[in-house]
Amino acid sequence: MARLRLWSVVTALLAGFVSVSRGLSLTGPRTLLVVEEETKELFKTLMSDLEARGFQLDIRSAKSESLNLFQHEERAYDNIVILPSKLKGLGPNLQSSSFLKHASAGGNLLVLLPSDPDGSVPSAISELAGQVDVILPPKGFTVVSHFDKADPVDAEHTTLLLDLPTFPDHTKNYFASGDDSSAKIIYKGAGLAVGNSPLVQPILTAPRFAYSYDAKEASGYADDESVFSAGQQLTLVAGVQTRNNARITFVSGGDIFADASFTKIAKTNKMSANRAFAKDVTAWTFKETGVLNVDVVEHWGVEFGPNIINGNVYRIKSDVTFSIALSEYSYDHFTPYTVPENDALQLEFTMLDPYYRIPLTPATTKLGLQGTYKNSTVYTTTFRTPDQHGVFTFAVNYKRPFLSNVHEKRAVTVRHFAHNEWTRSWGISGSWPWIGGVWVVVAGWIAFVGVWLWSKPVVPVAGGKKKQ
Amino acid sequence: MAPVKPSFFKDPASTQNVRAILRVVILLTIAAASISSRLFSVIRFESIIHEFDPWFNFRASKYLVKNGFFDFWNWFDDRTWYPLGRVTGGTLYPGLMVTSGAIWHMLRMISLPVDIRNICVLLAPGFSGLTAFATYLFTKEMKDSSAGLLAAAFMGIAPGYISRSVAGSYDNEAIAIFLLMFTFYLWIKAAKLGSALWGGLCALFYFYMVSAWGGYVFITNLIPLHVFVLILMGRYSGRIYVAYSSWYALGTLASMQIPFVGFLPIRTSEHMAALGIFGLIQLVAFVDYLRGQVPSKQFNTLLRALVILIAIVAFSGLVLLTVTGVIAPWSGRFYSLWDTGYAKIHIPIIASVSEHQPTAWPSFFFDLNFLIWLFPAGVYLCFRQLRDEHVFVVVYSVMASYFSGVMVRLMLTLTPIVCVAAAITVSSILDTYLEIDSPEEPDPDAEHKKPKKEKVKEVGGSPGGFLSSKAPYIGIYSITSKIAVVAAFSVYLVLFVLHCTWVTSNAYSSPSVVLASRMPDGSQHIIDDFREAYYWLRKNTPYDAKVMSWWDYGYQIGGMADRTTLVDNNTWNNTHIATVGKAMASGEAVSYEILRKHEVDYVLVIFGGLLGYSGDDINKFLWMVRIAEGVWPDEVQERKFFTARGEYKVDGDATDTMKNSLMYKMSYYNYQSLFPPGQAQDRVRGAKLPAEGPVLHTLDEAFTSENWIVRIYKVKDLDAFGRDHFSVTAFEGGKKKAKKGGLGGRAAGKRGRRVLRV
Repeated sequence: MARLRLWSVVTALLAGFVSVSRGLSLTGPRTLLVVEEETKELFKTLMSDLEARGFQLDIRSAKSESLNLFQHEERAYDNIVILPSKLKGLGPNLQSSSFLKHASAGGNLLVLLPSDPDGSVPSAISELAGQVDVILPPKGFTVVSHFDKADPVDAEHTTLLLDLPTFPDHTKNYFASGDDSSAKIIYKGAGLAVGNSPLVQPILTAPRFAYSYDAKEASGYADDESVFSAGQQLTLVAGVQTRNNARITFVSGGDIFADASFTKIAKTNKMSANRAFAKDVTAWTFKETGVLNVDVVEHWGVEFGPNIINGNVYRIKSDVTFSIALSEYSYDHFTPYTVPENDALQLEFTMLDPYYRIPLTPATTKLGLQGTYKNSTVYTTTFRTPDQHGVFTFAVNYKRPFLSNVHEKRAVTVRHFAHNEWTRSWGISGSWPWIGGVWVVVAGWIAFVGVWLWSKPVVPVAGGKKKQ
Repeated sequence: MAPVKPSFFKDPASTQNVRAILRVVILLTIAAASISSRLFSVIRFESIIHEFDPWFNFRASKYLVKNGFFDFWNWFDDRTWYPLGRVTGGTLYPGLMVTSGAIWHMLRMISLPVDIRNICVLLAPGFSGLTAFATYLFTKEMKDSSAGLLAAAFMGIAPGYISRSVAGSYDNEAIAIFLLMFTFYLWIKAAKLGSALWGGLCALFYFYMVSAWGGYVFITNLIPLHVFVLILMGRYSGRIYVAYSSWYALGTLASMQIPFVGFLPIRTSEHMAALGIFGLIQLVAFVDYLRGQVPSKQFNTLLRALVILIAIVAFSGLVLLTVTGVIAPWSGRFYSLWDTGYAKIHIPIIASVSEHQPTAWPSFFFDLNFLIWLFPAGVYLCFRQLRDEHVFVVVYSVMASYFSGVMVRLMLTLTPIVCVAAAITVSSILDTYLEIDSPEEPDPDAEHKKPKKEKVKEVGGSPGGFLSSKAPYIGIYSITSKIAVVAAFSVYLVLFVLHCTWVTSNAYSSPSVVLASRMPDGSQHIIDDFREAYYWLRKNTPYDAKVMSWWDYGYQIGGMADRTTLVDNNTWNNTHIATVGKAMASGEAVSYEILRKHEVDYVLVIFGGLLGYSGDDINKFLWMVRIAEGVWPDEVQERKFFTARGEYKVDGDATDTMKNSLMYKMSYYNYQSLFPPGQAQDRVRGAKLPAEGPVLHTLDEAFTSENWIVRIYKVKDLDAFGRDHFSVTAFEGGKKKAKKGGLGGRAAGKRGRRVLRV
């Protein structure tokens, strides 16, 4: 009996150890899958892929009574996946406000919207989308492209073949990590639109000639009235990163991650990129990629060297070195983060407004930090504090699409010259005539007093005093 | 004044020792009385620092004893005026803190470790004893020691001085009035003796005064004025020359060692009089010397012309330098001394301070009681003798009377001279009426009376004085009139003491940090909201939290809550204050930007509506608006806070600008919940508030004190989802409605969305 118990303890420990050592989301492994019975079968591969990456799936129906996102006011799940369903509402436990609360507490959310134009979007989801500046088309819309159709036989042209997303070269691409970069994504869905909020980023946009229109009411033609959005403005997958670095991803056309899409494409005779794309999207949403970590921030006055680190007080017009060590999380480990080619990591030295905005460069010399933080890149710069005293802030405000926010602020006091830090009077050549003058007067006065004291007074003539 | 045997009284030589001992005892008693009369607040409340400015001085003193003198000297305070900071060591008068720091160190040296707070609380009463002593010395120079003792007694308990020196009133004036009187005493001494030593001592105490109070400018101008008047009266002498030159040269150089003063003595108009008189006295001395050498009458005329010419050239040079900006023109505070309406139009920040308002007439009687009507008599008595030092009293009286009429706080500089002049009067009256011997009936041949007359006359007049002083002194014949007058004055003196005690106890002994009220049964009830709130801040907010409030409370937040403030009572940066004013006076959208930019974590407002505490922020609000309008006339307009009929209202008729202002919202947020629906009442302004209270979007109520006097709000962080706070409130408030509406996407309409993502 005792043996058995010991064994179970050992296995439990081992299991715990293994699960820790496996690649895991930075938020945590507890994942809620909201799925109804009828759709469960469609996403088997997605689920098994997630489980293989270490996520503990809790597969629940939206109608489940015991489902609660919060327990004792603590987040009960780290990640939530909402698979498309036929439900009109998600029930009392899954309301838009509880999703917002979940994200406010740092939890992630992946929402798969139905691909079928007739599929319904639960009101909680559309409310949530409205709050994060994602606009969902009304029921009945579908994306059509006559140039990117997957199946030439399909007259509707609603199943599309899309390239993997590309981004400008100052943005790192986390969504094309599959082996075959030329592989196509099979897509069918209604699309969505994103507002101008900087927190929302389109991950996958529609091709130039695609548009989303109300296929039901305007069958056969699409005019200005019935088109929801088109071209690059039409987003298919959108990622929201909240200010507290929680992530919410909307996938219009949930079938993109369904088993049916993880297949060979007849047209290109290659495997679709959907499975890899699903991995990338879930990895990003659940914070396995694109997470920056500030390992250490250090600043010191050049005058003193790195002996006094992160002091609170600097003086005006003195040299200061600032370093920040950044690393990036990649599935299961941190790697040194390198800023993309055309991007720059900048340091702001701010008091109300930035006085300086200086690019930080990777450190070349082995100063202080580098030995300690092997998995991070040390960015550093040295500058001279302005001729203005006050409370300044070293601010690194690095917010880039798909990267977690880096907003490091360190307030320091920049003080004025102390009374004994000014150049002494004799150190200023312009003062020499004045100093000379002072000493000449002093010497002259002493000489005068001497002469006065030592010169023998004339013996006063009798009665001379009376004159006074 | 017990009757003394005439023979005993009349021979000064035999009673010298007794008199000296008596004087010491009387002075000690006066000092004890003046100290104890200032302890009401400690007994009634506790040993606590009062009001606003003392809190800063207290904080600075703590910093001084903790970090030492040099750190204090170079102190850069990053916890005030966030984020600008304040070069505190260079912008304060360190005399007060250094004095209490020195006392603290001295007491430690003799193994008496006293808490710095107690030293700070009791410093002002302690120095009031010294002030009484300095007044004694000063008056003694004017008349005699009996007048001096009277002046010391008056000074010790005059409410005009007590108002600034009760226990806990740890302000610069606490030691400055002593220094003022002592410097004047030394000046009189120096001018009388023509001694460079006394002049040097005067300069030394002048330096101490400069280090202690901005009011040193009063000395800087009064002494030159005295000298100038003497020169105009043709009373130039070598004594004046030596005294003034040694005082000016040493005093000015010494005063320039205080960082806050620096080069002001040679760069600003306020100090130009002293410099000009210094030049003038050199000229006059030179001319005087030449005149001694060349006794030609024509040459004298020529010299006089020369002096006048040089004086005019120098003056026009001064004007030119002022116009070109080398010498700073008069500062706004000084303009407001000449034109009482100036500040109200041009510098609202000065006008907003209640102690900068013109004095109301009753306050002269309130602060000085019977001294105020004895004061002119004393000045008149000085006129009768008009020695050099009496000219000083006259000049001082005229200047101080004017200034005290212009600004309430300058009553403080008037009080000493009123005490001196009144003491001279009372002393003269007592001298005259306490003479036991009645003069004999006038005799046609009064030759044999002469010696006695002369003797008494020494007190009353100097040879060569004005005609009036040469009138023969006779004395009082009737014993009845003697008794009547002496009795009347005794009654006045007793009334004066009663009045002083009453005023001190009732008007000047409230710490204003703690409010006292009476319960229906007459027992005292302490309202301690301020300390409650500040303590809450201290215990519940992070150490580096920034608290925004109107500048009145800056020093208290810094001192009691130990949190960073944006603005405080050291109103050196009008723009920063106007920024806070704008944040308070604007709608939430504008305010929130300002709050975010200044990284404000908490906003503190004072609200007296529940208790009827009239000194609250809504009543000060118009000053905030005016100061903000001075900087942003387009964005904040005072007019918009008044109703169409020009009324300043907070009830249902209030303007939209008023109702949407952050100050209004913070004051009345949730206030309606205290009352039955529709019954909310503001007890300060006697207004019935609208049934629907204001809604706050960008702030959360963090703390409200027991009597709602202090309300603290926390500034919300940016919304995690990038929404603005108005839509957050709308979403949270109207969630049910939105749900009923169905698909959110419908809002975009069938036509699709028209806003492009850029």
